[in-house]
Amino acid sequence: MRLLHNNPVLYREMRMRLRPSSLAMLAVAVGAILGLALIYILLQELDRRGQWARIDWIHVWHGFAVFVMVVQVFFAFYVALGSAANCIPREKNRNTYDFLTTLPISAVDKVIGLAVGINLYPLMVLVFLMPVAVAAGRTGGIPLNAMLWFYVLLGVSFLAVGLLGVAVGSGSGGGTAGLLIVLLFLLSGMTIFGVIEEHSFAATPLLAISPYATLKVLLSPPGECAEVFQPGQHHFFGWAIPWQVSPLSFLVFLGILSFAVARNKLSFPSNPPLDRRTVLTAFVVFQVMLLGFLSDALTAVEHPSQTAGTFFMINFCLVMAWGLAGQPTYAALMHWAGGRPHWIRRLAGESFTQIGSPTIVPAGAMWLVSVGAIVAMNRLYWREVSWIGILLVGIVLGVFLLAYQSLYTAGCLALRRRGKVLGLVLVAACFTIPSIFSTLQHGERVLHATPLAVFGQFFSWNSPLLNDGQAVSKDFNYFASLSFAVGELLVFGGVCLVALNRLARRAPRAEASLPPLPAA
Amino acid sequence: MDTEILSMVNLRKEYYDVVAVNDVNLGIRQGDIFGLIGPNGAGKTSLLRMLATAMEPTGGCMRFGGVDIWEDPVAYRMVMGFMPDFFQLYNTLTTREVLLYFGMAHKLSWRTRARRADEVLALIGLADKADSLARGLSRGMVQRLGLGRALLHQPRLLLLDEPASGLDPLGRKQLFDVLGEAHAQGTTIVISSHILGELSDVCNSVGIMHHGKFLAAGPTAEIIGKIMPKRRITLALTTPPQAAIGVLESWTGAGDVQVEGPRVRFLFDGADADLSRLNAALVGAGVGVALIEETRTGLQELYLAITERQGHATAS
Repeated sequence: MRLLHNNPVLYREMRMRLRPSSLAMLAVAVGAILGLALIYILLQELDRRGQWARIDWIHVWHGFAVFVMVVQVFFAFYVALGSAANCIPREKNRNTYDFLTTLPISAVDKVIGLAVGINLYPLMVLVFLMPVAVAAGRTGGIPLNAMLWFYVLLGVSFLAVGLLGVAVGSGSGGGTAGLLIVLLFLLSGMTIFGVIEEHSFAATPLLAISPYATLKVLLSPPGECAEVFQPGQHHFFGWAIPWQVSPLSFLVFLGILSFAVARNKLSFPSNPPLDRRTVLTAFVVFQVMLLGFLSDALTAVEHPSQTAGTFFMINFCLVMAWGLAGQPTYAALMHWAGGRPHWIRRLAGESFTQIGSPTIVPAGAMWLVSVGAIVAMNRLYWREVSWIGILLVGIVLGVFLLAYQSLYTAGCLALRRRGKVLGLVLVAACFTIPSIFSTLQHGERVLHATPLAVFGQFFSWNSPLLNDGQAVSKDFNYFASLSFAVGELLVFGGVCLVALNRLARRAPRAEASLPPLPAA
Repeated sequence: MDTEILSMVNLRKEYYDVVAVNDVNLGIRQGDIFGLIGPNGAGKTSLLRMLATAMEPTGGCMRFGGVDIWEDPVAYRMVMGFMPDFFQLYNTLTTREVLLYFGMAHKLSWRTRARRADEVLALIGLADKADSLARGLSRGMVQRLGLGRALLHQPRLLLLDEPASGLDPLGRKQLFDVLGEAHAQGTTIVISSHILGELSDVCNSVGIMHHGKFLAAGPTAEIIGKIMPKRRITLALTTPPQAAIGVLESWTGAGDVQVEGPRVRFLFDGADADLSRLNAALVGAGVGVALIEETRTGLQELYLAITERQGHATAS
């Protein structure tokens, strides 16, 4: 591994980008923007004060420092994300992608070289304007520790979004995915910014994707921001611990995950972005991080059962989505099912390592982790929701999840070419058909055939009235949903079993010895 | 040098519903110049891109020196040079910088890559363009630079996809000269091209692809011997051809006699000694033979013969 030193991709990007003409153009453009901004701030101040002598220079330099930081965020976050996400599509467009893929260097070197090399201009804006912003900020009365913490976060953001961009780019053929991810980050960042502005509250991990909100929090006087953002009393922390540590942790998590995806896609483009073990590990780490860093948000929620329901829903969707997306192709399933010993004996063990195996078992394991995390959250923060209730809901939803995964697998195996589409249609039908029939006058109970009924009841479940699960069977119609779920699992699981057995019988056996190499 | 350096076992590539390479089994000997020929859409580019590790196969395996290529693709790429069919080189780099970049990727030392860059630029005739930006180069020059970058690290295996496209006649001659030099140094070359006449001159083995499969593959002379075993002989006569036609039609091993003015063409199945006996019989029958000429069967004829045969087989 050559990481940065002697990295050919980085060398190439440096040679291409650091030409005197390009650098001069960048310097002139950024200098002009900053100069105009300074003149505007000065004129605004002059307009307000009336006389040159009365100008409040602290205010001027404060405004200028904020502007410089805003420019840096724009370049080091959004431009960096966009250009990194466009790096592989650009190689494909200009017909140089084959050269990149056949370079005799490791995928790690390619990812690092691209993530840093593509973003040399944003990196220069970040590095060279930092002293300007710090000097202006200090003169303008912005605390030095606030600015340094901001730059630590921005620096980590720069690396994380660079890696995220390469990951997105390596998995897409055109530039649309890059544009979409930038828009998504812009919109979500603005939403978080708006929430902080209006409610003086936000779940701190969300600051990882909203650097303008971070800037806003940092520059707000201590009395005007929420408790979680207030200065702390700890030696190493200028502010409350979760606010400082959680965005940083989530950025590091995002960066590592993106790095793994980009490395996988650049090594073996046809493989899934992440192998099974990494997905499971990342899922566990994500749940632990949510447990650790959502204390501020969770303790502030008025109705804990609502939050528990939201967590159930988010995790159900996440696990379901991974289970569907990670399902191997017909050919890969056939290859795996045709091996020895019989697939059913290998299912539990190999599902966590072999990408050719069905996703049912890992999805089930991820669901168990989710339920465990929700129980732990309840124990740590909410405390009001009955843990028996959470377990029961977890079991019902888990059975539904396994039933749908089985149905999807059976759909995938029904058709060689468009099996995944058929599987998706079948799963969607299982959701939508009972939902439609439930709107009939006497059809309410049909909704119990879907997880929607479980979510609906869990949300409307007034937790303070329930203790130790006593009221669960009375108020919460758990048995109806469980009966439907078990019925679906028996039917769909049976079909899936038959389909996999049939596939295993049809799979070509591995050659005992390699065939000769004929001349023709 | 009969060792197979590159082998493909049940190699397959599918693009959704299309099977581009259909369970190919093939071995290429060390030091060969292997010509890959076939119509458009035959699967040549897919095969070459898989061999270059620019694309993963859907099934099967490829071995270089007996080792599965995908076990350690980086090590394989170190000894392989690839020139794709359509490519651009980095427009804002100079030609020397392009070569230095690839030299760096192949872990050549700073001195070696600078020296090799100059050598390669001289070899491909771009020494005077060393400091020109790649965007200012003509199509032919880009093609030559692409070849230069594939040769830079002196690979053991060279994969060239339509390297002669975009080159003028002089450029083609230079290309085949450069390939000849590389071959002389022991490089195994796999080359795909539509210009069969020129391939005939350089390739000592050939594979004819059609619909993702090899219709024939192996040493060129051997295939020609198998597919077109009869020799094509032309006689230049000094007497009217009737007597010659009579002799040829009665001679076992001669057939498909055609008369074109004073020349008679026919297919002959036999060795040189049989041909001498036929000549004696012609002279004995009073035929004036000024010249006996054998037309060499080239790749063009071979390719046409095989694809026609395939067409008949498909139709029947």
